[in-house]
Amino acid sequence: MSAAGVIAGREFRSFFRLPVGWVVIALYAALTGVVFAAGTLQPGGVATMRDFFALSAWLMLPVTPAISMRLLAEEARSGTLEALVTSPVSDAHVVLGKYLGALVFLVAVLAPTLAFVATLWLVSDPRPEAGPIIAGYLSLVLLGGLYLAVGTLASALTSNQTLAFLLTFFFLVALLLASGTRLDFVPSWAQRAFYAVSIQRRVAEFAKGIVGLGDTVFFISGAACFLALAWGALESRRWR
Amino acid sequence: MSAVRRLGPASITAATAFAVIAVAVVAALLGARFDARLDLTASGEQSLAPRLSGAIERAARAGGGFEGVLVADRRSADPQAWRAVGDVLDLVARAGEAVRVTRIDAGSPGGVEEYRRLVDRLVERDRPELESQSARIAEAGAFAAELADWLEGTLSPALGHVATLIEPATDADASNRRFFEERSAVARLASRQLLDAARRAGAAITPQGGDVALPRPDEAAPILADALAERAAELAAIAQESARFAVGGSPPPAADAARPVAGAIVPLRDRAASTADTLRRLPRPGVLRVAGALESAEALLAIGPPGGGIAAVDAASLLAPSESAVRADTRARAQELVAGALAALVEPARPVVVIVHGEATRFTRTLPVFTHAIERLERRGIDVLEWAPVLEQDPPHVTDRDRIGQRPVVYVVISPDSSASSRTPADKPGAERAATLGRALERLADDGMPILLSLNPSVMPTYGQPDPVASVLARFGLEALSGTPILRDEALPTGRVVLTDHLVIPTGGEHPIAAAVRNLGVALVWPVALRRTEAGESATVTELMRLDAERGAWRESQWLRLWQTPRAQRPYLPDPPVFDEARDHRDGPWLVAAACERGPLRLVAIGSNNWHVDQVAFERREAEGRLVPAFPGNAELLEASIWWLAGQESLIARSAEARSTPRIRPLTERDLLALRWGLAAGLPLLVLLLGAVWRGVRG
Repeated sequence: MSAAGVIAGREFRSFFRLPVGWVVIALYAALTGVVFAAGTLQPGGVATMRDFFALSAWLMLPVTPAISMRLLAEEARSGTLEALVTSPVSDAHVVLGKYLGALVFLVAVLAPTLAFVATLWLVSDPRPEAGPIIAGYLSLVLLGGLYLAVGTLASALTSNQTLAFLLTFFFLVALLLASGTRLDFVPSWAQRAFYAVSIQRRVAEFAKGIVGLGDTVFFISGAACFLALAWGALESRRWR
Repeated sequence: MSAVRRLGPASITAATAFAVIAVAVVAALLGARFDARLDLTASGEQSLAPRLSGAIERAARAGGGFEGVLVADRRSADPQAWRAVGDVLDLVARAGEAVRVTRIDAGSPGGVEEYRRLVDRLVERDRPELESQSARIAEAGAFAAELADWLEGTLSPALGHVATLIEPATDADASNRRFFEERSAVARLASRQLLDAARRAGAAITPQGGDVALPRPDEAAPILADALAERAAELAAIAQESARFAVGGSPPPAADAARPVAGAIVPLRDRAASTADTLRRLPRPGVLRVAGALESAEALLAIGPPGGGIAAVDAASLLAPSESAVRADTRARAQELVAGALAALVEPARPVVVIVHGEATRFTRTLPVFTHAIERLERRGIDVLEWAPVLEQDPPHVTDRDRIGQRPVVYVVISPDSSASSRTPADKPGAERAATLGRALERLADDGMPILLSLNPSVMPTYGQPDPVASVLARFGLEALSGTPILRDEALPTGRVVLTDHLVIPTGGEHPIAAAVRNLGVALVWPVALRRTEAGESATVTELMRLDAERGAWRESQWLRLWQTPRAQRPYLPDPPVFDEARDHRDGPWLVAAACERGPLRLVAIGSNNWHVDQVAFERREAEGRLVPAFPGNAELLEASIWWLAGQESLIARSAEARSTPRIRPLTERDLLALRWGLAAGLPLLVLLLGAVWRGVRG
């Protein structure tokens, strides 16, 4: 695990070495800032971050693929991946380390949004409850973790960062659309299946201030599935 | 590497990945199956309010099979309100199997079809009852037509014949002749009215076109019942007069003709009266109770199991676009309404509240004093009536509100101003009205009726007489110190002010009323202390609230001048009351609310009179953009007391309205603009600036 930790640390720092890391943070802050300022910051309105959290399933769509696209694709393109996978570090450590580094960076991306919490704290009466805000941020980390795991898989499948971004982005859009809208033309069993993997429904529950064991396990196990597939994709380079 | 040699690691990789995925999927399925949920909201906003969870528990105990259906056009609903109501329905759905929840968007094609199926199902459920009632109304209509024929064809000519047999030789004969002539005409008119009523009733029980075509026995029954009852009264009068005429020494031919008329009327009169009574007692089928809501396709329906009835909540008012401050309370209101609708199905015998007061006028429906309280009680299925003993000796009958005679009646007693003088010559002074109310109270207590007694300060003890309104407390071993209300004073920059309003935060207790108001602010206006006496050994007195003696509160004996000064002018009253050790008392804390029992008799005494009026109990603080109850304990105390007095303790539960919601304070346009730009543009720019600095420093 220490090997994964080292890789995670290196990956995390690398985001700040490149302008793209700062741009991603600024972009997310701008997107969420507009949502918060226009939707929530209404005098007399309910002092809640719920709209912000509930919209995050969509707001994170452009951000997380931008973080994950370079995780393995960049290494493959620059040829450093061969060196990495032939080093005494297992492929599982590589995938996990890269993923964790991206996840910590995602937390850094979310950090500026704490300014919204501070603003609510200052302008609301009585103070907003901490519980729903904590649950909301937990949902963002879990949701981001799932998105990043999908991105890690896409990044493992191709050495082209743009392709990795697009694969991740459109897969997540399709998942959100399929699980979040009523698809009358598909069979009912498929509707039930899409409902079972609905992301918006789960994020909305967290945004209310409810932490469900089932929802938490869904995000973690979903991320585990995609990471297992990413590991399989990376491992396949050895015997392809 | 050959294909065969590659197969080994590939299989291991595939098997490992598959195993990880399988474990993850199983974990997700188990997580969904055994889903534990943690509500992190401090107010429990995402939890069921005790009142709603209590209603759901009772629904489960009743065998379940209940449904909650929200029908509305989502396009015209306020999105936040729709979400809030949806949250409540989600909570209900997760609370167990007893209540199934459905949302129908009546604005979508699929929703329209679903809604039509729902209406058909509801109609089908009540069809046997609708058909049975329609048949009874048709039968009553046939009797009405038969009676109309008899009135027109038999009675009217017979009465006319009697009239022709009376020679108007004397004034009495002339009067008798006129009577029979008039009654003959009345019988013809009555015949036409009956036929008209039978026709209208027949039309009402014929299903009409439209989205929800239903027979309306609930509309037909009163039409026929009223017509038959009026005819029964007319026939009774004719029979009585005819019988008197027949035996009263009238001329033989006329008397002989009148005798059989009287005899023939009696059985028809009795049948008309009994048919009218039967029609009035027909219960309203559930689907008809909600017919209006079904027609509007905008309702929150609570549907009981077959035979368990239906209740509808006005969803339009919940979902309509509104001020944000009002909208923020939607979740609480939705919880209240769903709880009320469910409870109405589970426990249909709701209490009837009779407001008893010492005024010489009926005011509860005309003056904005109890408007909110009555609305709140009616939302819970509690009917509210009024009794002014000064005007009428007997309490109102509740028969038309309680056809099956199972509803408990609770008397909510308000004290009069005993110091008031009579305003008109016909008016009685306050002391006299207080005495009348006191007698009415004693009578209610003698009859074992449950009483919620609110006490005013009284001038009677000052004159060495007992307060007649409070004297009923003696049988419970209590007395009210109503001659010395509790005052307090505050030093303001403008000078000393004597205050008559007190805030009590009850600390709770075992008693269900005390538990319902625990930690909720209760405002008491002009409170008077209650004190235990030794006379009530057979009675049980439970203390509900005590008023602390903090901030220098005392019981004042010279309060009348302050009492008679308008509230707004009290701060400017020269020489306001001040504590005088010789005649006043600092003996707090004081008991100000108690629940008493003596055998089956129950009474709740509150040492304040106006604590449940709109201006106190339903005052909302609008300051800083928020609308929250200023004293949430008052309304809870009223409601909990009524449930307890009605013997329905299981329905006592704190309402969702007692919770508060954080709101954003009013901001100046400049501050709001600065905040918005700062967050939407300043924050990202700051991040980019930080990035530039970072890269500059770290290379």
